[in-house]
Amino acid sequence: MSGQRRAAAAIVAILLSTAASATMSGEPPPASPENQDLELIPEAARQSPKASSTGAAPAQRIYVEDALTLSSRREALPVPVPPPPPFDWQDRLFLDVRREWSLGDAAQFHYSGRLNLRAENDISFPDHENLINDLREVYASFEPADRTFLEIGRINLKSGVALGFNPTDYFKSRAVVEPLSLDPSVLKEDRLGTLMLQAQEIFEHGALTAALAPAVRRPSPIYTNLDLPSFNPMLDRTNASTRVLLKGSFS
Amino acid sequence: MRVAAAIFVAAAAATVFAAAQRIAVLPMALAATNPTAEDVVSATDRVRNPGEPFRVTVTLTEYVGGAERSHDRLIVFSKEDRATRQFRNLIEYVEPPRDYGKKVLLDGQSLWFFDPASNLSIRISAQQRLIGQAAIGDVLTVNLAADYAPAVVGAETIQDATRKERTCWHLDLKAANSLAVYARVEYWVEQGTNYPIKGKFYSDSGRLLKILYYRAFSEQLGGIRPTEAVIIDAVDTSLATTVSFGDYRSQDIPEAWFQRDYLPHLKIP
Repeated sequence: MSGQRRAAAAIVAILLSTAASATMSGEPPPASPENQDLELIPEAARQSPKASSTGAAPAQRIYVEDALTLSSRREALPVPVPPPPPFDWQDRLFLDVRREWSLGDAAQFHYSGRLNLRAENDISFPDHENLINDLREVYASFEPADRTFLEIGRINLKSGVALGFNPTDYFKSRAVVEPLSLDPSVLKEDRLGTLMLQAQEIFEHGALTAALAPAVRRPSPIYTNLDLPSFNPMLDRTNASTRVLLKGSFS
Repeated sequence: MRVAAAIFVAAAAATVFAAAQRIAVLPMALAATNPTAEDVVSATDRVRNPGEPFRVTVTLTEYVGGAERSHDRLIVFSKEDRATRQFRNLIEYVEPPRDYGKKVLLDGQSLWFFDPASNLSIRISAQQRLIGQAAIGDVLTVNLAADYAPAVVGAETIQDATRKERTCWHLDLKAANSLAVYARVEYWVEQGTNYPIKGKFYSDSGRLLKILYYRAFSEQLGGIRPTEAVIIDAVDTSLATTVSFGDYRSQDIPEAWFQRDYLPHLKIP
């Protein structure tokens, strides 16, 4: 054991004297093992990236989606398929637009909607069954004073983040449009706004929000595919009763 | 077995040699200026972060296997909270178009994410600062001195991202509170200038997560600051990200901006 200690001490002494003599003699210190990390930088990233444009992009999101479905039936089934017969082909086309226009320094105009086109071998064109526009939002917003905001029009006012059961989401009733996905978040995003006047004041450590949604139509029966209107804001679904919301938050 | 033993001996010798080097160099360097670790970290924080509320455009470029994969651009608004000495940050995504208008707010422990598609602000876990190649925690403005307990390991000469030799203080930073993004950070700060040169970021378990190099130092808002960083994913080294900080602007940022209700109203002038 003592021999090993002496050997270790000798190694340390030699290394120390080597390091000291290297320092004293002015020789460059050996390369730091830290420098090996430089090899991990990709060749393409060793130069500064090219400057990208800094121009402001328009506040918009537009997408088009198309899905074509073909179907064929088996023949000579012992139990026939109940009527009506399914379609032979179907094409669904969506044009989804969310856009904001600036109306000066303190005002904006917002639009959010989706145009749905459904073509089938057994539906004539154009028809209320194959052309439907979901007017999710259309409203103007103003900032008459610093951090005081007024919004008027059809607005999607949501409260709380729960996706399945959300008792604080007061304006959700009958607002969901034809769901395109089983994703529960789609039910929250693709829904009709409510015609309302909303005012919000943001303080240094909190905010106060008030919304008034008037009744402008009488309640209507629940729509089916056969009587869903094509170009109708369907305010009877979202504004069949007068509602007031007051909300305060603190941070 | 012989190979393993040789590697062990070589590693041991390297460790002893490195220790000897530090022992040999540290007293001389410390005797010259003798800054405390806290002084060095605070000084390098001041190099990275302007001393006034500001706005900066951050461009992230991700590389996979050496090839560029994606490109993001964010506008970051930062303001120091005098009480906690930590920065509060507001981020708005500008590119790519699919992320346009998304916003993030970090105010102390609160991390909020706003998506214009759902028109909702969602509170997310502070731990999610670590998600992604260039985590939000890397992009945000942070004062290391506020969240980490530093110690000087020694003086070392290492090469910076451009392979230029820099004589640095090697610092070891341990997370001092729950706001710290990483459990441990090794940091190299150039002596004299206090420029941040390199960082290594570790998880709670001690695993090396990221290696960061600063480069492209230039005059920004009254000081010489790094305007680029290269982040290497140490877990999967085929991944790397460059971060460019540009278009620094001094900007008065009202306190009211740093709350979730303001997120939908944040507009980039």
